[in-house]
Amino acid sequence: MAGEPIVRTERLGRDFGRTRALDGIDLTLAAGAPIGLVGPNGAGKTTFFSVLCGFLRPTRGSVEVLGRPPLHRDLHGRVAILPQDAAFLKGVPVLSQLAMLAELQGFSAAAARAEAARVLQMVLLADAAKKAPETLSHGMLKRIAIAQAFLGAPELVLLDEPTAGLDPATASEMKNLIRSLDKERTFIVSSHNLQDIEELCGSVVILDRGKIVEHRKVSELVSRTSCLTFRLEADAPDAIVAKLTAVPLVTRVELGRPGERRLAVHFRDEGEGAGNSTQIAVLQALTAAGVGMIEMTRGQSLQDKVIEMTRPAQG
Amino acid sequence: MRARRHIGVLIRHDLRYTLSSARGLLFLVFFLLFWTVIFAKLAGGLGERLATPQAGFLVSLLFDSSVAQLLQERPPTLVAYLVITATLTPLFAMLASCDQTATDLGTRHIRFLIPRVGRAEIFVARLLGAAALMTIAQLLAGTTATIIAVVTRGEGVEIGTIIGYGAQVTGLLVVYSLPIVALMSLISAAMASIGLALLVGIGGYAILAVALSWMPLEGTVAKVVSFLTPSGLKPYLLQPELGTALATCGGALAYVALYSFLGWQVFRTRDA
Repeated sequence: MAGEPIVRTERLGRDFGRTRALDGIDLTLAAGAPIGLVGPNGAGKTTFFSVLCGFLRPTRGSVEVLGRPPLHRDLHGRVAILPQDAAFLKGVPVLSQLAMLAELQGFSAAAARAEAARVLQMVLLADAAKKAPETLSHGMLKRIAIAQAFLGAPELVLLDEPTAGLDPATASEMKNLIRSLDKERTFIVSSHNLQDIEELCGSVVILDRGKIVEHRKVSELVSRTSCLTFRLEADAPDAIVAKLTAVPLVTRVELGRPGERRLAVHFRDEGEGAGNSTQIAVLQALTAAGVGMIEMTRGQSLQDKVIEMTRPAQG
Repeated sequence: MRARRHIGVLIRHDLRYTLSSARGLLFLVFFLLFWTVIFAKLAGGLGERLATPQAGFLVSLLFDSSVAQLLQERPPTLVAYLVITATLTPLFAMLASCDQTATDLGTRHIRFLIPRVGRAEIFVARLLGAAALMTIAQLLAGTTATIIAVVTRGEGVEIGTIIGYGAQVTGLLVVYSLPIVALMSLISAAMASIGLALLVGIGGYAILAVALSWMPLEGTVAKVVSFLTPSGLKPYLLQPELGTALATCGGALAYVALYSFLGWQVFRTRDA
């Protein structure tokens, strides 16, 4: 299965009135490790998912999922989605609703109820089987929506904000669940929680204002050795850039936007302890300049990288 | 084959959902209460009283002379049932079928369905589910009316004749309700809200009926305009001839085809 494209788009565009939610997306995604889809609010993540599932029609370009157009009947049951804002029917027990969805995927009535019970157990909500959706909390509803995406054996699972609204313990359980299943199917996960994406995904697509900014392996994006990231007590003065650039091997210094209290120092890692000596020299320069820090991280997190890549141009 | 199975699953679930949803209960309670009152009156001999020559004048004035004639020629309990039901079928059919795709679109529940079934299957299943609900309700009411007609029949009237006419009346009313169900498939897809669909359906129908009654139209124009809604078929339902009744059924099915086609066009092109 690995290597086969699960999603292929060409010049894909979707407009809402005059707003271009997706603009010329050329993308080929291969089956395999989970793929993250990230970007700021309004980047087009949910619209992209909606187009892949056939909820929305593209305004321009083409899209293929598992080699077929999104609404093709061959895709029924092979692609599953956790939609962000879909509701279950009021007054109908969740087990019945999941069983109905399983029946639509080809299960017999009896097997569908067993399948529904299985996926409820997966999301730790077996006791909620006979409850109506309106009696459940937001987090429980989210887990039931996740459960419906695991009915049957879909080859591609699209999860739109799977951990949003969940408490940390439940979010961790859901991430473990995704990890336990990612050998059997391909996940595309959209999330604002970039820590989750970094933990779960092998590659990441960064969207900004409807366009693809980057599509790379997470390991390539998150440089672990040649960058120092600082969380500061206050915004650093502009003059610090010149002082740090003067430090041997430092190649680039990035100041966070006003209020971010952030500083990233990139350097050439020439091995044999050069990184450590650069680190010491940078710390000395900061201390000499009177810049107080709260935390220093060796490397750059995905969050830092995404913020950097999707930052609006100034001026 | 797979499409038929999908449609079957959706209809079964839809009918079960009707028993637990607010709009389903609203229809069932309203329908049951109304017919309990009317059937009590019919069991008390309302039909027979309407068939007397004295009442015939009033019936001719309120409805049509053909209705008065029908009361003389056919089992009066069933004729009374036919007249009342024909008048109220648009209302009941709208109540029974105002949801269809409205909840799917309004709550985005459709997003759970689309990865599993085709849009056409969803549309057809919702239409058939609403038609099935209305048909079951009409069959129950028609059967009850026929039983009352048998029990309250006059001397010399054959039970077979009553049952035969009861079946004809019930069948006609079932067919007459179908265009309204199809009309609501269009309105529910366009409104994506049960409340709005009901408001637009009933409001639009009432406004059109009032407007048509105020328009000084005569001759062919009046006839053509009266067929803007399926209510134009109502006078033909009340004719005693079987041929006219069958032609009415054909007319009703033409409305079904037109409204369903328009409903599908709206549903097909809507974002989910």
